[in-house]
Amino acid sequence: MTTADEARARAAEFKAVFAKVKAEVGKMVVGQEHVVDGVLTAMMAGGHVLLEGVPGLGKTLLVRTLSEAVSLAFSRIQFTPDMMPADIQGTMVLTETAGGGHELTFQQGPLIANLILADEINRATPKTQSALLEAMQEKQVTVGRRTIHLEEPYCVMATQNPVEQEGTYPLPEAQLDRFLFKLIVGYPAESEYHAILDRTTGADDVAIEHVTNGEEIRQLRSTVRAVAEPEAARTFAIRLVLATQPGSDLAPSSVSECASLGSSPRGVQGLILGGKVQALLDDRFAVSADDIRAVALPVLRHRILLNFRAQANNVSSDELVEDVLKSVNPPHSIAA
Amino acid sequence: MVEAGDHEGPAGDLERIVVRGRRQLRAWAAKEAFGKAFAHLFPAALVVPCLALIGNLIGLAGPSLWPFATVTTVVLALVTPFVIVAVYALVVVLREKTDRRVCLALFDKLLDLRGRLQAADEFLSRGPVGPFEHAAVEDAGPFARQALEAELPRVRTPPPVLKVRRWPLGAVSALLLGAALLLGEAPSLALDTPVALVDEPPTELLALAETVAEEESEPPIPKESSRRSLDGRRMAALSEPGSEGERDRAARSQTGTGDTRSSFAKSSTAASLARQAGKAAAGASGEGSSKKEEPRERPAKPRRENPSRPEEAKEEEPETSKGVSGGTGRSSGSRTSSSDQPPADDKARNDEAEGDATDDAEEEEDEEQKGASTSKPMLNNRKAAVDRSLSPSGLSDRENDQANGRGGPSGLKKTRGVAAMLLGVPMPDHLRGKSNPGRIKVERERADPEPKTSLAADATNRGSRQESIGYLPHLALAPWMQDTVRDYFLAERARDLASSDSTPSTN
Repeated sequence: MTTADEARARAAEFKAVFAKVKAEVGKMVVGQEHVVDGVLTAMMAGGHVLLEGVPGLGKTLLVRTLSEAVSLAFSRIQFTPDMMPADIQGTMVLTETAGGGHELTFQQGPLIANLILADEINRATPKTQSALLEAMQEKQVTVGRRTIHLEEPYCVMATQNPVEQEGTYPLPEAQLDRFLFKLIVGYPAESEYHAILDRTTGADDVAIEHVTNGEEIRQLRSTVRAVAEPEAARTFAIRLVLATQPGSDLAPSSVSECASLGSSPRGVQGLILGGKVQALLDDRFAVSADDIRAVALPVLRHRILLNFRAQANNVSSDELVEDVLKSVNPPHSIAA
Repeated sequence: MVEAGDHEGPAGDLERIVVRGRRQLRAWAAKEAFGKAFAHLFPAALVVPCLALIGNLIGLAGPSLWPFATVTTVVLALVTPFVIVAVYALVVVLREKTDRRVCLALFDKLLDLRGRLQAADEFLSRGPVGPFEHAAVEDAGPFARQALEAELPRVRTPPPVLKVRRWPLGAVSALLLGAALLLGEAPSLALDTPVALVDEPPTELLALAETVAEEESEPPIPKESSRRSLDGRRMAALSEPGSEGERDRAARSQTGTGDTRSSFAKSSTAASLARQAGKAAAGASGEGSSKKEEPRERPAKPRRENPSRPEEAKEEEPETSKGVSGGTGRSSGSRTSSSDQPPADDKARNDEAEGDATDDAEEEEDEEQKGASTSKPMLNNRKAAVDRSLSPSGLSDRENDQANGRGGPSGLKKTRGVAAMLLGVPMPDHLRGKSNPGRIKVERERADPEPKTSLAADATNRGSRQESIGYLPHLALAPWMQDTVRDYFLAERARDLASSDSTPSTN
């Protein structure tokens, strides 16, 4: 087997597993195809996902179904304002030994798993939200003098409700930046409501099968990282990120006027990794500018901090990303 | 650079694609450049007419700098814009540096290959290192062959459009060309220049003037008188629109050569020549200086209303004309006729009207200043100094017309310091709002209390609660508390029993 054949085999395996997981999740989750694709893309790229949508749209169901399909260690954390970091990381507790003595042992929190569902993450205090920072970036948890390395694949999928803002704590920029994608979950279409009713109000139970496992996902992640990156795609991703930074030469006027903070270098990483997954799904072995463009919105929308002017004029970060995509062209490209 | 067809496999195909794409892009660039350059056709059409006009204008005073004949000039004017446009387009095309990656991007976009060709070319140029790069190169092979066979779409560039706002430039160029051609055929103006006249002997010119006068069958006039009459006619002709002077000029400009001139034009020209000869004969005295003064004459300035002035104005009028026509040999020419009066006359006039003397002196001074230098400011237009007194002046309703913002009283609010703080300055009220409802008056009236009837409140017996108060929920105690309570009551009962047993014995 030549090296090219090996790459072809790995790409085909990736695509097949991706399709199987997506089909399995599709048994439970109706519609929301772009959300399912985004969640799977982020998981294959090794990133975390922030799902935003009003209650009742199946955010939690999606993550729970995904955990069943990939057969990973799953834990769900329902964030509340009185939750403390020890509640999610774990803490030392005094336990009775078999001989009648006592000792301090570490009781692991729900953060130590493979797939974490952080439900309504914006209801926790910043102190508790910050407990996720180390786990999400360094894939480890430090409690006292103990550091626990989290097992790969490790993926945090958080949900938040954009409507009920009373009693919530908006995620800080450092927290938001750690999410690879921010996906907006919208209302289903009329046709999808019929399918939802069939699956949820009928007598039949939907059984989710395990179609992959942690080891396979680790391999798929390495496959994603092996996808080639041409200079043009890399330059395009960098220019996109630079264009989100107000004051940059590449930034369009709307960004300079309405944004107070642009994307960090994590944005470039997210663009390239997301683009690689898109290239594999499109039966290609190198990232193109079109792949970068396809993932630009979920990667960049939460990395642009809007200023007061934007909020007063009701300008969203999605509009700014659209402006960036219009203003930045891939290098060595032909205009339409 | 690798020639097309030297390579086998994807590399050769990519090379051929690059060659093909470069050719196509150059063709598009040429079309685009021609379209852009064509928009400048009318401005380019101005080049030859302008050059011809300038050359012929210079040629009026000397040898012509425009060497081409009329037909050649017209041909050049028609051809040159197109040549300029073509050269501009050619330069743009030659400057076009088509990148190899852009050539490949052309086919990537055309066939929607998502950058496969570009990526394969890049990996081939730097050498594929990973399995995915090898796979990307091999993957691009079929698409490269497909790109070689694909037909590039013909980009239909719109026909070059001449912008409407530049159409007038075409008319301008045509007018300029016509003017240049007319000037090219016009006679040299060197004969009319004073330099040429001065060089000629004055006697010959006078003789020529006399000849012309004879042709017009006029009675012989003495040299001096003929010169004066010609001068007078010349002046009158210049002053009347559509008169001889203008016709003279028109005839000169239309007929061109001196041989074809009409007798009327000849006479005018002769008169002009005679005038010039007279100038030359008179030398640098009198006449020349008086002529120099002519442009400095101003129309009569409107005098101030003064009933004592009309006689004086009547006196000054002939003096003014005298000053214009009778100046003799003064080189400066700066003084006016009023200053030419003898001092005795001025003194007598001062005796007659002392008040007017000051005004006259001022006027003379102003005119002297104007005559001496035009760059000096108009001193009589200068306003009086601004009154900077700080006294409150708002009591006057008259607006100060000299208020220029430099302080001083100019309205109601031009006060400073303590005067501004005092209420001596009436300040207009600019506040807008509801009108005052007026003064509120509160009146108190004495009134005696009047007794009013009311129902008496009957007291009723409410009785005591006889039924149970119902269920009262209570918190369940902890087991240890219940035990404590039970133990307490058991202990109490035991003590009561003990005391009851002991009581009869004591009793």
